[in-house]
Amino acid sequence: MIAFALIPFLMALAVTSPAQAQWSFDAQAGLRQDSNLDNARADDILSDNAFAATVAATQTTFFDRGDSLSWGGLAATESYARFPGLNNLALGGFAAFRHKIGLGAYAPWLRAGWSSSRLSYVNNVRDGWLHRADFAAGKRLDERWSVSANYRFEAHSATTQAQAEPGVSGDAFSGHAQTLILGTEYAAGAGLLLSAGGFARHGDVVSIGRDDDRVLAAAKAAANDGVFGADRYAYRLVGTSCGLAFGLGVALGPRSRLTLDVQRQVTHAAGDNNYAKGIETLTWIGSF
Amino acid sequence: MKSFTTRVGSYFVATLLLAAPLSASLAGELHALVRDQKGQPVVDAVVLAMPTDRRLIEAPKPTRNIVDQINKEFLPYVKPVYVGSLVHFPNKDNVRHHVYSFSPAKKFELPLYEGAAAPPVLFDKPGVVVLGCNIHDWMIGYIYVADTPYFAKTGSDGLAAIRALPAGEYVVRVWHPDMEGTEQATMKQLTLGADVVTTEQLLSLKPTFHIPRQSGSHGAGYH
Repeated sequence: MIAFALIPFLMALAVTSPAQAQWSFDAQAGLRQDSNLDNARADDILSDNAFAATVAATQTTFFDRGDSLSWGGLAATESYARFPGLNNLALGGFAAFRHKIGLGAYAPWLRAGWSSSRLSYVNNVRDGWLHRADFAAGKRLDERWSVSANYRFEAHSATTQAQAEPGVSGDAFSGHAQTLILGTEYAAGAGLLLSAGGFARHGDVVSIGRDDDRVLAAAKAAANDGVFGADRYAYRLVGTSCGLAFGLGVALGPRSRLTLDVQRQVTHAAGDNNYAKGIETLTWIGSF
Repeated sequence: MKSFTTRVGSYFVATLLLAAPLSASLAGELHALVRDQKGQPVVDAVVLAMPTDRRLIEAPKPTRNIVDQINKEFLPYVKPVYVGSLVHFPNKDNVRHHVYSFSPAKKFELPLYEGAAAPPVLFDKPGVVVLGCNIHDWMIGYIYVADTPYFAKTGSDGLAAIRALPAGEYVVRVWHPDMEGTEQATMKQLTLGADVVTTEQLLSLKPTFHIPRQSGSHGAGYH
């Protein structure tokens, strides 16, 4: 992982260079509605609403030519209305280096980032670490339009459970995936931002369902899942998801904004375990 | 473009024209009102008076020209200076700025600095200089490098006053960052004496949009 190797070097560079670090503090709070929280096929679909909040402290060091190194820590929590077993707290850290190719507002940029969070759920079989590495590039096209592309690798290592089925791993909540995201933003007004994007994700998905031999045969792991009911199993499957997302952001002032994001996605997973879901998120974001 | 000029003290003008050698000793004022196509006063328009007889151009008294950076904005948004002027760019924010311009009239860069650490920049070529900050993309400002020392900038009432003008013939023109068309299209011939001359300029402004201060974080919210 190039990003992991780069971060210590870049941090050392930050310490030794004549740059100045700036602290910023960000907070988010919002509601999310997931039409298929359990990533299930039609008969087993369960939806829920969640309250989510995040606070983060970021130190950014700028270098000549517009490059920057940022790193910090965050705390995030989610609280679900119907399935409190999914309530969780995440504590983590992140770092990213952004390089501007040239001078000015329209210079393209590259970014490499990494984050790690420790996840603690009420239903503690899901507890574990979530690691993410991002490589992104973007460019502002004019005063209104900007585009970006982001490749993400993520790995989730959860507590391994006892085998629920003989011969099948119980490590259902671990996994890794790669995601490619293409996005654009359009500033419709001084305080009005529209966004649209698409993504493709390939890797492990956790799909919840009743006992199903066909799905079990295709699963890399399976475990009992007490969150959605005693008769439900969590299957770790290899799947490919594709989706579209649209967003609307309204500035509430110089330091805060309200965003509404709508996302639709379909997943084709092993064992013909195909499902679709929609996610709507309303979030207040503040920067201090 | 429809325009009109009201001359006050025109009685004196003919006399002054006949006594040109004396004209430099008499100082007049030009008051300009700049309105947009809706009749609204235009702020931050630069009104310039160029004497037809360039010998009337007198070197202005040295002044300290400053473009501040406050709350991650350039202040003032528009700064007119006479060609050959030095401009200081003090940073009054608690973050560093990296001021630059790509404009043909002056290409320069003040790499990351804080406080008053940046050296002043010499603007030695007439024209418009667009300012930016390489860290804060939304920051934009303008320096208008004038080829005449006789200029003023309109306030929120659309009014600008150019004082201590030697009597004589002038070509008056106006520039604004959002104007449609050219400065040349705004040129008007005026005769100035020892009194106040008022003029009105109509500018057609185009809708402009600046990079917003806030941007989203596309790609961060995919679940």
